[in-house]
Amino acid sequence: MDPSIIVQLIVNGLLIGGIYSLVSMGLTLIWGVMNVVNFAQGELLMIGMYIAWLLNYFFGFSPYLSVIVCFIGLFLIGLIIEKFLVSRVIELSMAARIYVTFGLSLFLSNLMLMLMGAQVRAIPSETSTLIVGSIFIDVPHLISFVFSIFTAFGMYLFLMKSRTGKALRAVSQNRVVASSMGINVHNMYLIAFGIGAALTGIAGSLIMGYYSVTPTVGTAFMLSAFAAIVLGSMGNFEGAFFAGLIIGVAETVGGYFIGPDLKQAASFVILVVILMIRPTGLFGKELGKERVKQEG
Amino acid sequence: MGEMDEAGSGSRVKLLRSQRIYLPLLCLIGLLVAPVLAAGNPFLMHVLIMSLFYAFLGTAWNIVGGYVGLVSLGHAAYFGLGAYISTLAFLNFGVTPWLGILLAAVGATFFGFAIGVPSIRFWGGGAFFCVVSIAFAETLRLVFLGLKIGGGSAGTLLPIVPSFVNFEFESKLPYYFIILGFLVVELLVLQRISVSKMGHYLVAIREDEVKAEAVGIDTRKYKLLAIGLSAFFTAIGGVFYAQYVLYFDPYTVFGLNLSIFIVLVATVGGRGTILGPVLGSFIITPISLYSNVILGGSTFQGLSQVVYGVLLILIVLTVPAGLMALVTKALGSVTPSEKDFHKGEN
Repeated sequence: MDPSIIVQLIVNGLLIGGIYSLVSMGLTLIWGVMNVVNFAQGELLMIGMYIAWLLNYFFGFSPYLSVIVCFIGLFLIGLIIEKFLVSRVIELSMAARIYVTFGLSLFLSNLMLMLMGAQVRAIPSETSTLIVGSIFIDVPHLISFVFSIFTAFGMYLFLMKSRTGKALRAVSQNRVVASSMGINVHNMYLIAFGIGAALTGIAGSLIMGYYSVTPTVGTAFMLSAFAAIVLGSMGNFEGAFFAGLIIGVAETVGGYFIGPDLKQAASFVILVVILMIRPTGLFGKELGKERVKQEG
Repeated sequence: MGEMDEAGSGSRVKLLRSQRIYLPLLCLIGLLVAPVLAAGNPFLMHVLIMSLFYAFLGTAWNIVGGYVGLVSLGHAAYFGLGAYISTLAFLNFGVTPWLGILLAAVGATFFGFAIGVPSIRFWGGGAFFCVVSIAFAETLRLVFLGLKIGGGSAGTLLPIVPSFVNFEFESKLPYYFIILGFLVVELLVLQRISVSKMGHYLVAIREDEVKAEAVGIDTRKYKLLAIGLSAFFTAIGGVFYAQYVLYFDPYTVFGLNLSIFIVLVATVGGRGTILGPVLGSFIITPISLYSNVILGGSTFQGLSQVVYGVLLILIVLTVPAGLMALVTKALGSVTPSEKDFHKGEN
């Protein structure tokens, strides 16, 4: 086997992995702060993709310009979802939280199916390729990758340095103590969900540079992103970033060897293996038991 | 609930007890007579069979989803395995589907254990189990498609050779009584379990896992047992489906849509109640089958899923204990309040 093919596959995987990273970071932020698995995360990505497509179709926007619209749009959508749905069940059982976000995912993808039809939509673009040595790099992939790295880094700075970011982290560590320190936990839920959705919106817009959208595109991304947040330790922001890249590589390499139809199986295999040997993920501390007690 | 009844006045206890026995018995008699009324109307017969069929699947799901409170959105995995195991054994080795049922059920049970071990290991309880369950069903779908097992996307066609041994019949009537029999047996098993030690353990785990563990319940073992039992029955449902429709493909038997429908039936009817999924199925299944005919396939597909999504949300927000709770309330017994119901789960 030609080693340059392996390198090529890894590069391709990393480039798509940037998108997984953004979706996973959104998912893990929502999990970490709210203890909610947002099953509608894939659908939020899908909505971001449609916004980018519509803006291009009607106004000729480039998907890289639509990023801003998607960020704001999905942030607002996230706020609405949190305010009217998720906040109603956040004090209730895990089952209730699952039902609400899963019901929402079903609702959104099929509503979109009725509105937009099942056609595959893509933004027409000239593809150009960068050749480095024997490696081919697709420019739209590269642009979206660079964008996602910047977004991820910006988000990281926000969480680490800003007052709101620190409050978010405090809530994710212990909501009772955070609340007693004067942090408005409910506002933090709103912000976490809004940002989680907005990150996904950015990813949706970026990926439209080279990917096509259908109403049901979300499920596959959601499952890959879930594998990533488990791998990166649930609730761990940096972990989700690196794990997203790993999952991207695993699916690309796996897809090459076992066939593109089965590429997603690669992330499930990772998911199961990591569950068996190290259920806290690659970046996690042993916070499992405390968490269960704390959440009751 | 049981203790509350005992504490009540004597006549009320008697009334409740008699309701508890006579109501299901009345339903059963109704179901035994129903085919007579449906004679000469094959579609109505089909609706009745499918209602019993989804009641059977919903009840199987309820063991895990209702009693233990672990929401599985991947029950299609066991269902599809059941359909494939018995059918492939029948096609390749001539094994009668009656034996195939056993193979399928045992195979799916072991698969359930295999899935269960990693998915209940981690904290995050229900959330985790739920996503992993979807992942397994989707993986099976991809694998069966990708490796072209049983024909892959072209689907698996069973030869039409009606005979009792082949579990194939020319009329719908035998299918009706078979699935009715399966359902009755399943409900009796569930009834036995719910009053047994295991039933109380399962509910205890749902109510408060940490405390359940603290009083010495092997929560892991009982969760696995529940998953295995649920898988066992679901696979039997898969075999029945294969023998009734005589055709299936990975999309229908492993698809998320099937898993969602099972959850819907059980949730609307009432999670954690014995007859809830039966009630749910007899409401949801006929509506969905008739509206499919009226609206036509493609419109129905999108619209029905939108409605299912809204229903899942609404039920949880308004009557989380399901319609069965309203029925028992109407009959005058005590039901958990909505807040209590939610507080109960992990």
